[in-house]
Amino acid sequence: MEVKLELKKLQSLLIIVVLCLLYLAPTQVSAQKAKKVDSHAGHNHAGHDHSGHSHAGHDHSGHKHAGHQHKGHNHAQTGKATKAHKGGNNAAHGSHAGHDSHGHDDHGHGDDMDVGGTILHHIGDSHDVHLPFGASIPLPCILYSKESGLQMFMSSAFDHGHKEVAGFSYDHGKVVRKDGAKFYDFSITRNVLVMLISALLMCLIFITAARAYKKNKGAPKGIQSIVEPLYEFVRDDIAKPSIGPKYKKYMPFLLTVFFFIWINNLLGLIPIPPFGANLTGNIAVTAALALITFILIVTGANKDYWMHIFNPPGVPLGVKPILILIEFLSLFIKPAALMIRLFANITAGHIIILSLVSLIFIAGKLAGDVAGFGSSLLVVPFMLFMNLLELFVAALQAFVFTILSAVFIGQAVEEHDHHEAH
Amino acid sequence: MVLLVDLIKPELGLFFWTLLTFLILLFVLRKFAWGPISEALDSRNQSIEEALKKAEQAKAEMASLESENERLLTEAREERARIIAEAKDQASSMVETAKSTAREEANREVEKGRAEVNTMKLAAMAQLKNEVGAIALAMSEKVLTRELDTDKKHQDFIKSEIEKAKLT
Repeated sequence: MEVKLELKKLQSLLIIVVLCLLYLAPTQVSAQKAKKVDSHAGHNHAGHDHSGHSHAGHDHSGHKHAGHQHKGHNHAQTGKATKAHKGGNNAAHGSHAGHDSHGHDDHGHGDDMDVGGTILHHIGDSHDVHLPFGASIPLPCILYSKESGLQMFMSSAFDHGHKEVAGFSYDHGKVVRKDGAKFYDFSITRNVLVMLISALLMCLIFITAARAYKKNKGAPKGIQSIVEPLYEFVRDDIAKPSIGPKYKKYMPFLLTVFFFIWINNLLGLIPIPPFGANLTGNIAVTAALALITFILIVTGANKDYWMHIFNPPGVPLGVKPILILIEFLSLFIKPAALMIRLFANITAGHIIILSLVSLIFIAGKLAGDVAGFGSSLLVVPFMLFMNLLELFVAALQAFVFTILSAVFIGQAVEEHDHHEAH
Repeated sequence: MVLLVDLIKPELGLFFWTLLTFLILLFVLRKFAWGPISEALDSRNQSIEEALKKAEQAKAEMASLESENERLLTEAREERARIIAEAKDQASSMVETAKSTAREEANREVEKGRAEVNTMKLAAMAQLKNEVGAIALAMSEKVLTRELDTDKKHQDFIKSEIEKAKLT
């Protein structure tokens, strides 16, 4: 058991290290990116037959647009257009932009289908809400930099990356500065919008339920009968056994985090814009939630807990430094594990579902529309199954995040009677 | 590849908004939802507990009341029996006294009557004796005047007989 625990810690440590490396990576990657873009542009340039194919395939595009969802393809193409633009291929840019202004009929690039990019685009964030058939709802951009101060405008000002606004331009769902100056992006992105909607939804549900208790002193009715068992579940199965006698202080946090994650997981499964966002699978969101857990652990920790970390009792002097190091790191690994677990689980679910959707289009590209339609007969049941599984995962991950937060807090606030036992 | 790296790179903006939204949500829900719900559940639990306790108490009270009733009832029954018995006793004793008084009265009357009869008898006897004596005397006088005048012996005899015939 002990060995297993240590192994787990080691595993988490490894993940952290990998993450740190990935953090440092962008500088290298951006260099690679520049190269890639060049090569891509060249490819595009050289591949005139491609563009010809795309034009020739217009009859295809008409058909395509008749019956599938395409926001992703559309924008993958937009992204490509921008890339091409960067590469300096004006001709390519012109043709793509022309398609883009039509909004929906540039799916016909048979060999250009970028499934990975489409999926990553879907699970990423963006500054507008994409609707089917190329339409989109602009969202407010709030940008701050030392040079230009606070800038606020609607994302429609970027015109899907074709225009620059006050030195900012839009690329791949991200606001960038061409001059490379440092700035901070506090925009209301799609994820932020969904999060605000979910917050309002939670207020509506739980304040309504709380109000009902003022009128109804008897057995729970209506919305109370949904909220009350869940409330009692969090109290009796998460807070009480994990934290112990001090559970009351942490109940609001546990309840809020549980419902916040669960409801956002569920909203993420609704494939109707603006929902379907990969909010709880976004590392910034899980990092913020884990940070709050971390703060609660640190502020709630008593003397015993710190002693346990910095002066573990009953340990030989030689082993102490190693153990102190491990224990100290575990202080950060615990919330980091929370962050990664939720992020990875939800993102994985979204990727699987999007991959299954993509299978239909891949089959369509490879073997014609009939094959695409035929594959959907196979893929749709799989997707249904995955969606049901995700429905379960949505609740499970909310539960796991909450109970682990409770357990970590419980470890920190626990009163030890016997130090020697450790 | 670039996007894949972006996936695990937290955006400051989203991080900030999440933190802000979550903390506001936490505060608002704590004040307007979790607090009231927790209070309501606690007070309901308490009221249920109290109600159960009260029911238990009422039950105990009922039981004690019932036994009290039972006791009172048996007491009343005993009392009634006692009263009836007493009344019976009294009645019978009264009858008894009445009877005895009546008997005594009767006895006394009888006694009185008897005494009177006796007295009257004695008087009658005396009278009768006197009468009989007189008659006998007169008779014997008549007889004797005829026969006994001469015979002294007879005279003595008569005399003694009369003496003997003295009515006691």
